Amino acid sequence: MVTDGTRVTKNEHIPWRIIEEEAILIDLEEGEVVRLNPVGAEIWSAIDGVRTIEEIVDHICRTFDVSQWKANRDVHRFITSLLRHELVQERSGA
Amino acid sequence: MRVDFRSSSAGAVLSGPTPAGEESLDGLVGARPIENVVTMEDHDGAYHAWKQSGFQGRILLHIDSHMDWDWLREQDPLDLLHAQTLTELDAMLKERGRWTLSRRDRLEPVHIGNYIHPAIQEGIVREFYWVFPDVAIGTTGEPSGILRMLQKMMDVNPAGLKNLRVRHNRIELDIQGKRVTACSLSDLPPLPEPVLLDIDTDFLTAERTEYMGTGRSGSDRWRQLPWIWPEELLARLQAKGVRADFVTIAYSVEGGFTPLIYKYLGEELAARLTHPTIPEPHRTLWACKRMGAWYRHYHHLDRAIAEFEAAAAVVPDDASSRFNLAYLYDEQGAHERAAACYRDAVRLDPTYGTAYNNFGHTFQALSLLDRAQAEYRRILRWDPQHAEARLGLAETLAQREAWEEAQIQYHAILECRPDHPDANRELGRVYVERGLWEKAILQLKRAISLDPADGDTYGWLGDAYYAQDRWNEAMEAYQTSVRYGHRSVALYLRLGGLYLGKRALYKAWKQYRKGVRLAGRIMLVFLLTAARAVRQRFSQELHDGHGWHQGHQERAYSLADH
Repeated sequence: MVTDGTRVTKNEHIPWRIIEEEAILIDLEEGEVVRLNPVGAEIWSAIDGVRTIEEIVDHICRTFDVSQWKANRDVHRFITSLLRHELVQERSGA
Repeated sequence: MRVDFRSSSAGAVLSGPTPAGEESLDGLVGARPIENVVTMEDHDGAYHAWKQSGFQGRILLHIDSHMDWDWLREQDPLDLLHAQTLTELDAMLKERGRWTLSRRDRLEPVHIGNYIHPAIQEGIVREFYWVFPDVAIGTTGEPSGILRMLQKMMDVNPAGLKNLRVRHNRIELDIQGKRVTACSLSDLPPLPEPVLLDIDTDFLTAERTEYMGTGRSGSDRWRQLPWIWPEELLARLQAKGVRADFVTIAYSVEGGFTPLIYKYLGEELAARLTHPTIPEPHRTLWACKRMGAWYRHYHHLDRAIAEFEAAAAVVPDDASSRFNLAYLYDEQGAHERAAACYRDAVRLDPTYGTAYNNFGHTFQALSLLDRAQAEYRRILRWDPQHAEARLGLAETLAQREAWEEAQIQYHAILECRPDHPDANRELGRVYVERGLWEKAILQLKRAISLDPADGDTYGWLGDAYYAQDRWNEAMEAYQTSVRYGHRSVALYLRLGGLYLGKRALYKAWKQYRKGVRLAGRIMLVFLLTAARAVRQRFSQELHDGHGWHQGHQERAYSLADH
């Protein structure tokens, strides 16, 4: 369950790169290319195992013209989705 | 066999017609001695030899029964991250129909299947000619099998191969901007300069069936004859005016491409190229072996033995004569004499002790298990300690589900070679098949300690845990198995079931989906039922929408639109 205080880290087995504001992730295990749009890429870049979800939401609000409520809902959903696909992991002890 | 021609007259010229001008004789194959002839077992050694010699911008004449162009099918997905723009990325994705990821070793990117690629990339090779065996030409007079193969490669990698066409019986195409010509010896065009000549010994022993889409024939491999002999190959190259200043020759015995009974053809080619005027006793040696091969082919075993004995008499340190004699004596039931000849061959040249010194692998691949077992048992008669032959025998027993007999063979290997990774792993698998779960777990853990990156081993370990209701350990083993490239419908189904048990519903659905994809059409109906049940039950979970795109298909939801 993702909460405001949750911290997540990127799956270290997923090579990635930002190309023209999009994040390109190579999921070698699945044999798939994952493309994140600019907002997704910004969230992905902000995931560092240190920032909480709440802090990432604040970052998105500062970067894009979006309400706190909408950013909060989207970031939670997005990170839940990343967790489901094992592209990120919940940081233990967080 | 070590060939020493220092006492003979290097530089002698063969008689007969030659291209105009004495100067053009320099490096003429089969007429003038070529100093730089490098032999190797694996063909990728050629790349390293060219690189070490500092060649640039050369014409490569590749004489081989195989293309060695597998790089076209093995695009590294990590290359995608080198794209500079999204347009470029889209273009790269478009030309990649699939990836081949499992079991690839990125630390050793140059191998026998791709070594020409770096040579082209690094500018060593500017123009590439591939001469395929005459047996690749079908009854219509066209190399239709090779054309089909190239067409398939174009389907997979349309941007990598372009402009495929046939002109004057030659296949021409562009690969990554370089002109490539593939043809038989007869259709080889005049080459304007000395080339890098690159020969695979398996070119001489190719079979017609290899190019008919049916794989190797099940004919008696020991009685096989080359379709062309070394002196004929060199004479045809000479007639084409081919000049070379650097020659690479691969034996390609490992992997089963060149039969070990004919490894000496590679040695003979090297010797004939470095010294076109063949001195005695090698002229007699090769003539005797050629006659011996003919007599063997027609099953005149006494005459064949006489020829190979004569060969062994003129060059006593020739390992190949002894090895060929071992088979012939074995066929006559003279097993002790056969074993003695085999031991002599291995003593003279240890490479004759290779796992590929019999045709067990070939027959096994053709599902001719009786013949495969006969081959393995032959080698075990000659050398009871031959672990690879015993492993092959055990594998064929396992293929027939003769688990107890297979177990005995695996134990026998481990008595001599306790750390043999394959024997350890396969013994674990036998325990799984026999339902000896505790033994299986111990054995498979031992196998993992010897080879921690084998996906199959983790899969069987998962099966053993699963059978004991040790769900968490089973799941971990299956997950690791997938990580190391193992894929099977059963594995995905079990993983799906384990996720369901943990109420990890999305993951369960994902595993079932993978199972469906893998199972293909036959299993589709059955598995879709299971997958649909999961999807219907948890449709809300699946229709929440995700702010990302997966695979090559864009999903409806986009974070930026909110």
